Amino acid sequence: MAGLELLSDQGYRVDGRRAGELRKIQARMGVFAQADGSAYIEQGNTKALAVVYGPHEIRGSRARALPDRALVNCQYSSATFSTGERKRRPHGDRKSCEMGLQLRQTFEAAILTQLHPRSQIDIYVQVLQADGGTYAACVNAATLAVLDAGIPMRDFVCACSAGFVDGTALADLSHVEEAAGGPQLALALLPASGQIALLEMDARLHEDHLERVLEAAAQAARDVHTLLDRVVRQHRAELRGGHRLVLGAGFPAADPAHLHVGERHGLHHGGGAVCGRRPCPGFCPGLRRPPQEVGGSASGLA
Amino acid sequence: MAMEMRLPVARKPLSERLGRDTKKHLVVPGDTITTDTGFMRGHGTYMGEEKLIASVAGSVERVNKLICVKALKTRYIGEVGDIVVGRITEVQQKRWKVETNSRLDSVLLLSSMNLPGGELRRRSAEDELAMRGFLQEGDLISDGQGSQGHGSVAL
Repeated sequence: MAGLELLSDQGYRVDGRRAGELRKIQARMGVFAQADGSAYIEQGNTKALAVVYGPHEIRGSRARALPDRALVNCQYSSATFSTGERKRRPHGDRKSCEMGLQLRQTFEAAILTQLHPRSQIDIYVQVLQADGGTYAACVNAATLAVLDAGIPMRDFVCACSAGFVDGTALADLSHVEEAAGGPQLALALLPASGQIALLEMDARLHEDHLERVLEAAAQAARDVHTLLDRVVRQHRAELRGGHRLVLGAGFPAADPAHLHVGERHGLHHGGGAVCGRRPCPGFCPGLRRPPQEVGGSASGLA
Repeated sequence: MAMEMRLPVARKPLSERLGRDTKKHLVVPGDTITTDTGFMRGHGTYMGEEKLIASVAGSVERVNKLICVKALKTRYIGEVGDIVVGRITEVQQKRWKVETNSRLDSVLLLSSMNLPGGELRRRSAEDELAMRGFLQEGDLISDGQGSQGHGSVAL
């Protein structure tokens, strides 16, 4: 059978990458205003969206509340148009549950849940386009979303898949490479300490090769970390630069100062929406204290 | 209704034009803030391997020996003196649970509610039974006293 040559003699893969090369990663944070945290990531042609709500009071059964830490609830879903064939995936199906469980294990290892007892953190991930490495894209998107929500984490969680072809370890597999049937593993790493949050493989691989494949995945995850770090700093720079526009019935564009003082007086919208004062002075005179800017003197309370 | 939209314009690269920004030490989770063990760790940090490491993405703030990292965006954290608007979610024994978009539901105690007529007395069983007459699930309230209690705000 004339199989697809996954690795050419010159060392190029099907899409022209080298063995250890990642696909192009683009990510955005804060894509949904109504969620506490959200992020969108594209790894090559794999596109994933993550939304985080929390920490908030446990809804539903109070009995599930853990007295000493937060409950992390992850849900994974795959859009019907995400694969080559349009396929309807009911919500509780096995793959979604398993992915949800894996994501939960990954994030329970990274999120500092002891800081929020009796509360719940919801992470919803949806894959919009699946071209291999969906678990990795979900983890990376969820990391950015959790960061966006301001939930304390030990470190970034960066994930990547890796495979083994012709004696060479390949990093960041695409769908074609995954479907070829070789061994592949998924690794989620906390880059600063090098600790592994999750390692998953369900193929057969000789133990002599494991070291190399693991190292390829770990190096790729560290590269992902470099990129995600840049995305976070860029996002922060955008927020400070005030490139956001608030549209609505006659409200003027939000003053950049408003972005800094958002939670101090949650009622106050840009442009005098509540009090009718124009131009907006930047704080509600009814409060006893003027707002504290980001970077002002520490109050000792986050 | 105000809506937030992101327009597809080319973003200008940030130049640190605001003087105060250049002094801010921006960190992401996993970044080492300092290896000096003499500092007390505040919110947004944790101690790992003899180093003070950030746990949220934000700017480092230092007050004498206390280092904390203020996250860019968090849920509402109650402070004494804040005026909040909340919605009743539950009526429990001797208190109401109020949803104020913070990390846990805020608590409004029956004893902290002023009785009609301004009388000051111990709340009895009849008052407890009459709680639903005052505030039910779904009611909107606004309150001007806040105090921190164990992660949730007491109104």
